[in-house]
Amino acid sequence: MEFTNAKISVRQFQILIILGLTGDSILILPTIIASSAKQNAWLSMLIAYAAGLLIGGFFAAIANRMQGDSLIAAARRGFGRWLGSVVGLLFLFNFFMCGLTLVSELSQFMTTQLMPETPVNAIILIFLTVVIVAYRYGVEAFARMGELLFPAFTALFMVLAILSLSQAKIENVKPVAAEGLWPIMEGAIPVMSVAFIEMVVLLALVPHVATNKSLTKPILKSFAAGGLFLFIIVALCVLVLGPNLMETKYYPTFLLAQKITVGNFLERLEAILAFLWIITVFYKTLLLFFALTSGLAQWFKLRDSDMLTVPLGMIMLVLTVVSTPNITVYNQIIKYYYNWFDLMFCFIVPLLLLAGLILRKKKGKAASS
Amino acid sequence: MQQKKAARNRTHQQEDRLWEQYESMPIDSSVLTNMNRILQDLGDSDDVVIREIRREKPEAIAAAVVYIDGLSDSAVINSFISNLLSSSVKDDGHEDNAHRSKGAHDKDIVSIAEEMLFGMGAIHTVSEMADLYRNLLSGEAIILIDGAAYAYRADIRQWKGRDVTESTNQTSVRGPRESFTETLRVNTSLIRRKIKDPRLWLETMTIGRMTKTDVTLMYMNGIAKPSVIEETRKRLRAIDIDSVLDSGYIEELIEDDKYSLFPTVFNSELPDNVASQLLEGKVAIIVDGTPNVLLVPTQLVSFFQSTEDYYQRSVYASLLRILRFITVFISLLLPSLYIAITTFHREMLPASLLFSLAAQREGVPFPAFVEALVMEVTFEILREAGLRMPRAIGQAVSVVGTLVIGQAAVEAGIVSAAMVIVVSVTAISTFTLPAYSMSIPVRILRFAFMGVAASFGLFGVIMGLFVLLLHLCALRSFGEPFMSPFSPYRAVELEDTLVRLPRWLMYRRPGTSQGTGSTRIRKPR
Amino acid sequence: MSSLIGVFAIAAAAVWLEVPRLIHREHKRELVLFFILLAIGVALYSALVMEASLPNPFELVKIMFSWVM
Repeated sequence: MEFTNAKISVRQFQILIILGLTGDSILILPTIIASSAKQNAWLSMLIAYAAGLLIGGFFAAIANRMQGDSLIAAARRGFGRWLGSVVGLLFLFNFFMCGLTLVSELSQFMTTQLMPETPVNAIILIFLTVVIVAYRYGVEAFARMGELLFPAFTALFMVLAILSLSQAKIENVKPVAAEGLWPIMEGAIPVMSVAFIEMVVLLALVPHVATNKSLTKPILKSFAAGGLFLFIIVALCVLVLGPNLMETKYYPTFLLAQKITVGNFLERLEAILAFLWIITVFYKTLLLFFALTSGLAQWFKLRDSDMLTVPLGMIMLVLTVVSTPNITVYNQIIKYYYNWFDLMFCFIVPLLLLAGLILRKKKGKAASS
Repeated sequence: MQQKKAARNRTHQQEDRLWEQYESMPIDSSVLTNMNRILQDLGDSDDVVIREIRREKPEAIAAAVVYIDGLSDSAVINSFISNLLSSSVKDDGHEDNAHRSKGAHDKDIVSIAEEMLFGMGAIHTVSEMADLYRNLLSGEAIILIDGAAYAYRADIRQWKGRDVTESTNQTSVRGPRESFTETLRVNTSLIRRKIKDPRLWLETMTIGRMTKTDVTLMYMNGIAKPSVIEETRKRLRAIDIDSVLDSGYIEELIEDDKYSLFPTVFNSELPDNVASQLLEGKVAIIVDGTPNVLLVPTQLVSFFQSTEDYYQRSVYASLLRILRFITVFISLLLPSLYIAITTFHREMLPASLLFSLAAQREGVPFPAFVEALVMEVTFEILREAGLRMPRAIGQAVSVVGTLVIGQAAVEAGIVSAAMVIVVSVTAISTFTLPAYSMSIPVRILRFAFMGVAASFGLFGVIMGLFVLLLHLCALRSFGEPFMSPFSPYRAVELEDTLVRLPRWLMYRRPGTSQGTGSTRIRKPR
Repeated sequence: MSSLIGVFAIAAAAVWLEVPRLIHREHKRELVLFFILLAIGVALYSALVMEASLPNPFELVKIMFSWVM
């Protein structure tokens, strides 16, 4: 696989970011926020949204400094061969773990809501197989597919959102900020990490974007759009379901879709939501898998990365099954520990990378001047 | 066993090489030798006609006209020979063909012949036997001249071909009805009649070692992309095959992805379709002997467009386009969705529908997947049989087959009524597509989706859809992405995809042409 | 038992898909890495199928960050 030969357009890049941002957040986030912020979840979301834009700017800063290098190559450039490889390895570890969380969430959703009779191994197997196929078709192909699916995705999302508005009850929002700012902040943290910070994976796409201009605006625009999608979802959950339901149900957005009835015949629209959600989870998983596989190949300086796909898929499948013995244990870990993992690997490590790249550039300037 | 095969292959190759060597031999200067050689090579076939022109001295035969009866216009030859003879008849008034006196006539009959030749038609020379045979067997007349190491050939081709009639496969309600025929020259003339611009260029090449089929490339110079033209030329020249009997042979050998179910080369029988695509910068490949003209490069949307869309009102055309996209979805996914929902996701159906479906499926012994499979295969059998049947019985049998078999199957309890409905709707919707070549992958993939739906329900269908979309997005047609203008997104070109915007809004040429954005309709002054 | 065969079937399919091309292009390093990863994958999968207890990777996360809480 030629690493930097495949090119995607800026628009495709943006769409991939939006789909990745929505990722798994659209289904699991409302519960997590509600457990801390309850009826002020929408405020948490707003705060996280603002922070998310800053995070987007941060990633854009790194992206602009990568100069066409892959992520691993940029790390090695910023830190030298040894330290840079360690930094690269940290990134890869992050992508792998993040991928595990995504596939876990998908398998849990499928077994509990949509297809309880099907063995979970089969579902994960099928899903990972399609991810592998998508990877092997190349980034151009799956970027184009994203471009294709995006208008349909947006349209269906809007339809669901508008239809659920009819059941919104404004009292669900009150009382506003009754218990002070801390619960709201507490609710904002998981959003920031799961939705926004995990998008560090976009750095793996950067060398493939066909443009010489700065990537700041495109990335910020995508973060804004993705954040908007999430905000709408959280706000609707609060308005329609109320804080209690939001907190107790595992997949409140699913419940939201189930509640939609139009004129007594248009029911069961949760299938549409499931379709949307499968698209976003698929894309986020694909991005992570892409970052992991191509990154691993670059780390070992291989000429081809396709052969890594099946073994990596196998490992991911096994570890996913192992890591989700039941949903409560999983949620426990996610809620309390995973945020720190994200913070460490998706924020601190990239921060180091940024510092490294800036210092290297300054060194380079000093040497040449 | 392997050795025998290798030995056989060697002798075939040797034979081919010998024949090629032989064919490249030059023409002998003796007419008699050439005549004998031609007769011998063609095995004295009855339709090879040799008209000898004799004289007294030096050699008995001065010249000879060779042609294939049935491929050449013999009237032209007859008038040539009679004019030749009457111009060299001497004072003794002999009109006898075989004996003429030299007498005071100073010009040799050969030189008279060479002068009068040009009245026959377009005249060229040949100096190799291979060329001689190729032209002779294409219908040209060969004039052998004694003493010359070359021969003349006259283009007087004429044969019985099919008239220009209406197309049976691609019908239209409004618009030109002419369809291509099996003769290359007729087809190129039909296109020339539509585009009278000097920039419409033709190039002909011969493909097929034994059929030596003429294949013509047609394009608008300045509008078609040079890279596409060159790529087409390159791929056509790379073909080394015994026979080319239809454009389908060529299509298989030049397409981008030989393993994909989807066609990346468009074909059409209608001159107006070809002309409009030529004006968009596509390159046409016309194959002698078939009315199917190929067009490259192509996109997915081309298979959803029909020429009539441009002749009818734009609103109507737009609605029809949207309908076509919807029917493709139905045709591909309806059976799978039915299987998925009734097997895995029964809770998605409203209660009343659920009850009636359950009641119908009560007596049916098979699971939904087997039902669907049986019905679909039955319909495919009916459809294929209807295609091959003599026209008189065809209609009756298909109607009878559908109704009777469907009804009987329901009453026997083998399939449920809902399944018959699903399969019939699916079957009909397959044929709303104007391009037959796109209905083939849809029909095949339908079965794949049914299998996936039976195993993994809606999730499987969605995953299958992803794989399908990925494949489509990865396809290229002669360098252009197959899924454009949807992705890469070219907003300019979307005017002609899902909808057809009114003509006064579609004023830019699409990306397949050299100048994207150059105007094709200008504002009225 | 049948699942174990399934595991090896998948591994065999992967080998059949990848190895001829790698050998043809003489990518030795890639071949080695492929087999290492495949071995790890097959080992893990077999362990899973035979219901051996495998460590939960998220326990690792827990351990890494338990000092924070």
